[in-house]
Amino acid sequence: MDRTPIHDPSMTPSPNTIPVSTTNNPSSQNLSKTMIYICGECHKDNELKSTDVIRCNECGYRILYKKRTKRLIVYDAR
Amino acid sequence: MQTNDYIKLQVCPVDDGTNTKSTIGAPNLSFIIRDEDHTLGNSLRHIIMKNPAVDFCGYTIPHPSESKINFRIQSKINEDSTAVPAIDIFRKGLLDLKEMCSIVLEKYEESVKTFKEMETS
Amino acid sequence: MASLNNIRTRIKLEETEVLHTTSTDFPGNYPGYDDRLNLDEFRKNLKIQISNLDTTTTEFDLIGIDAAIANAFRRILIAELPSMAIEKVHVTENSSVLPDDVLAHRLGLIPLHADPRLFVDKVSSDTKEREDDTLIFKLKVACKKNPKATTDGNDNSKNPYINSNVYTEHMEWIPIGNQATKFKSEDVGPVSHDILIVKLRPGQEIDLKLVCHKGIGRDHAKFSPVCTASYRLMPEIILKKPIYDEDAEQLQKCFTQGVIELEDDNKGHRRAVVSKPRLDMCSREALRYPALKDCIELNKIRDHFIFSIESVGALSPDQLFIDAIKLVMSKCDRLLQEIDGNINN
Repeated sequence: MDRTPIHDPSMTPSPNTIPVSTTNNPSSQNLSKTMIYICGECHKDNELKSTDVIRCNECGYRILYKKRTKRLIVYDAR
Repeated sequence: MQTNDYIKLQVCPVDDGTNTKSTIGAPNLSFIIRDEDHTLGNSLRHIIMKNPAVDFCGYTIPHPSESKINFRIQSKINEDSTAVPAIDIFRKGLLDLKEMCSIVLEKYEESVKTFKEMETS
Repeated sequence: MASLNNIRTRIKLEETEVLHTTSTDFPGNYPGYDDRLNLDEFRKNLKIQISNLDTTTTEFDLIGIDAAIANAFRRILIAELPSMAIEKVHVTENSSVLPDDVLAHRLGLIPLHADPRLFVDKVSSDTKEREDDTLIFKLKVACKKNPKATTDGNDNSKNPYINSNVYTEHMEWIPIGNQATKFKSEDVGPVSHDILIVKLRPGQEIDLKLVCHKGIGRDHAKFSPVCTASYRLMPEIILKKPIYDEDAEQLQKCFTQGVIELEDDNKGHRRAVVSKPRLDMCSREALRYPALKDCIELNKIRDHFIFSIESVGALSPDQLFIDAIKLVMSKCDRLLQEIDGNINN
């Protein structure tokens, strides 16, 4: 039973796929982009830049989780 | 699922030592029917076995993962060495099965109609 | 020492074995019997008696047909009649406790009212959603705390949450193309509105798009249009010797209620009489008692099938049986087409 969802193949990074986006370096985007991470303890949303210290703003817990992807995933109802 | 772009019925070449490769008049034939299982195999076998000209009729599913059946018909050879061609027996079997089903259908639809009339009255 | 007729027409149930299970009535097997296929005889002997028929279930008797054909109908009812079911789940948001694939699996099993005859099979390479082969549903539910609920439980809405249970009634049909003119929401929606899909708590939500296609039971059980279709053979109980009083009561207890009745005969004894063998479930319990073992004979009538079909809800059970018979005929047609095509080649 194949349970892997269907992803858009051009999005998964691999040596064969050539990124179609206009910005060449993906890591340069993340330097200024602010991402929302969820604290492991108090479950609060923290906005963090890639240069910030990794800890929750409220309780100081140092394990943060990423939010669910915004990409659409298609599953077979089997 | 009624796509006509694949071969459903394949007649296996006759291998009886003679030079004739023709399967048309052959008394013994094996068929490979694709995408079928016991549903058609057993019912067809039963109908063909009821034919008095049949010496042997059987089917097998070579492997359950593959959806096909091997169907064999051997017809009785009369005293004067003639025999009904196996392909004709197969054809008659299919027509008889179809006819049998249409009789069941007719009687069933009739019964449903009478039942519904009885219910409403 | 079974009579020839018994071997040909009855399945004998003994204490440790079941005898004469296969049909042997083929031409040449029995001298003196002409067993060739005679369709006029078949038409004369075939009897169909419907015991009950409603929108979901039917029970009827097929008498005079062979097991091979009856079984073909049963197999087709379960595995080869098409129906519509949810095939793809597009997940935008799922913060419930069920993982995406488990939720998708549950959604696939939901039965739909949609009549499969009004849709065509989807060509697998075609990714566009067409109005004649696809149905789309939307399921978007978020759970919130209920501001009206109080802890003393005196108010109407005792439930502390809103939308904590997601039922099939929350599925919303999105018509595509000309579907809005052809169908109404009740014609294509889920059969039951109270099937629990998933449970949520405040802050959790699901946002899904459900895409339905036509399929057959052989591909996945969710496409089977019947809860189940089964048949049993008509039992026959023969009392070889008269059985009275305590033995008769013992005999009555061995069978389902109603099968054996006790009759008062003129001499003051109560005699066992077979009243409704149809109710018997062939447990052969009576053969376990030495006193009763030699007095009765348990058989099944080989060509009398008691069919029972329960439909999931899309089509009525009598329509399903009619479709099953037509499918056998179309299988024969397809092969005849190939034979005639081969002969011409």
